[in-house]
Amino acid sequence: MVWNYFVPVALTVILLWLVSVYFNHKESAKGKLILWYSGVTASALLGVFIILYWFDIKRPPMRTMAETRIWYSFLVSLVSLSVFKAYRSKNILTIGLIMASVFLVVDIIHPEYQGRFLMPALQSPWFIPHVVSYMLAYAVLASASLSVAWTSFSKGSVHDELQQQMRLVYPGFALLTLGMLLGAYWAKFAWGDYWAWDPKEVWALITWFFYLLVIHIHRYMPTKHKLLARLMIVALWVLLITWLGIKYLPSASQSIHVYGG
Amino acid sequence: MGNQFKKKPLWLWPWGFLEGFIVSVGLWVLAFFLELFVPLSLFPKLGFPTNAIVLVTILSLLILLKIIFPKSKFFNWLASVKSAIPSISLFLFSIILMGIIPQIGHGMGIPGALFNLLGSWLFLFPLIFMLITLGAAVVNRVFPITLKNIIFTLNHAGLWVCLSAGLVGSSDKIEATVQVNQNEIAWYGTDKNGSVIELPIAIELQKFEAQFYQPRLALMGSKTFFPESEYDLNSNPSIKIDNLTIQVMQYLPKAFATDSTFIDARGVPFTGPAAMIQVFDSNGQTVTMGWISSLTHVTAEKTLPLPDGRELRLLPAEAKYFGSYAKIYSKKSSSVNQCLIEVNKPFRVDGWWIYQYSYDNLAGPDSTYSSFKVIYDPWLPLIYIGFAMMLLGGLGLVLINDSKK
Repeated sequence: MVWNYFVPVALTVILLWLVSVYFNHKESAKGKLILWYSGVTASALLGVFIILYWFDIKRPPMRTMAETRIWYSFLVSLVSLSVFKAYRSKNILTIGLIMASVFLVVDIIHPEYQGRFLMPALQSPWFIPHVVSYMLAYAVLASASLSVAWTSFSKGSVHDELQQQMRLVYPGFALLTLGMLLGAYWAKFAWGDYWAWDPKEVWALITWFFYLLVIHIHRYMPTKHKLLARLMIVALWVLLITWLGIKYLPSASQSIHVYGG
Repeated sequence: MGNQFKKKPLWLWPWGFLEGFIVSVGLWVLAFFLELFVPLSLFPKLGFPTNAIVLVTILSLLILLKIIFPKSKFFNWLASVKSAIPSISLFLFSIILMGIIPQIGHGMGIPGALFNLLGSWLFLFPLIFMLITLGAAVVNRVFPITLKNIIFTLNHAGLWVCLSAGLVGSSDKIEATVQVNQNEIAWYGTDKNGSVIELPIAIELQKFEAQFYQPRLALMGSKTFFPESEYDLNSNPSIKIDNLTIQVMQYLPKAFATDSTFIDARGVPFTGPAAMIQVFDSNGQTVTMGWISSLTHVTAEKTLPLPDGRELRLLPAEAKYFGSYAKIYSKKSSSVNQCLIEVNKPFRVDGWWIYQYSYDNLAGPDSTYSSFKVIYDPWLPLIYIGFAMMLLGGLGLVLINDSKK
């Protein structure tokens, strides 16, 4: 059973990512090579694990919180490595890989193995694209927000890097839109309504409108760096509530989206 | 923003963000008092064609304003980001309230409406303000046709179409559940309020089919524990739950309870699964043994109590698949269709969507009825058009932003 290998695989992946983070802050040509290959190998290893696990349990591994964390970990690492490759953004790489490692650590502590059960409503071709778009969107947007938070707290000024960080918000927002619309389209087939105002849906909509606000301020109030940076940090909280915090809210008593486990 | 606030006195044209936010707050306060004195729930929902006329009127007014008074400062403010940001903020505020306060779906006035925001002025006003500012922005930017304007229009008009079709669509939607016994026909359904309504379609249930996963064991106490790994009950597995090991001695997918034991009841309808188990502690000592079974129409649930006060249960099996072979009759097209309706695979006829909804949970695969949800939502095509526009617009936004590098 593939799940039995999770802990050794996760520990190896975390180790390789930490090696990558270490060399990210060393100035040497060799270090650059090591950081890149170590990071990529780790993500590839995790990717292979996900695929093998998927085959093993014969259903998409996206049902439990623990399973979504593996995906986040994988996708956040991919996003931060690609952003690093494209823009040489060291902060995003460090934050991204540390965040990805934290997800895996949480999974080592709380594996929440759930087996092969998959309720009929989730057995849909739209399930995977819906969840993957959302997870990718969350990964991209969280990387952008975390990176803004990092620069505003460590440097006190956000001006220089904000434009670069904001570049991530647009693809992130497009993915968020895609995930939401795929979900709505699927919901019409599975539950009869494209939108049911379930607490998770309300928070997904709040997240969407929040980033919409951020985008409008970025485009039309270009000098308001501080306001934008603050909103980006608040946006991260909104995103976290949507993903993790719903079940702690008074409004969550009836939600079809609260993860198993 | 600060500079604009200081430069000119309030309410002097051109309006800026501050006026926008004051309008937003004003609208919310107005909505609050309206809800307090004349709750929205007191008014009938605007059905077709009134709702369509209202929408077309809003849009036509905006277009007229643009054509007749192209230099109108009010219109330019409405179409600008100076009203858009306040309007997004107001809408955000109203949905954040909805996200925090439990929505029970009924209630009016203050504070009742806070638990039923969708049916109150407190949601309607922010939504209409957004439809107006969004609509003005679209009308203002449709022409000239440039790539940037096309992307802008797709994004903004797409959202406008979704929001407006969703708003008016909610009042024209008909939804009912229809429970049909095997070999019977039902022309009637039950709506959300529990009233029986006649439908222009009928469902004849020919056969209901369901498959189930094996039932799961659970250890219930102040905290519930589930098995740590996958198992097949047919192969007499040894299962770890919390600090216990459960040895399955015998598993009967269909069992019938006698006084002291369970007997194999394969082929007997309405029977359910049972298992004979022996429980060991971490030292390998036997704690207890006995039968456990899930609740069915013919057997009571049997749990196995442990000396520490907890108990082992065989949970009701989870459905892997369920679907109904049915004949659907439609008055409008005088058609009869033979179909298989499954979860995620509704059948569509004359604007009606028929969903597999439920069945007799206690009978499982032996259920003698199947229940369906039927939904008529005439505004759905418009929603899909809105979706498509937003997707194209989103793609355009990413590509345009990418090319700016």
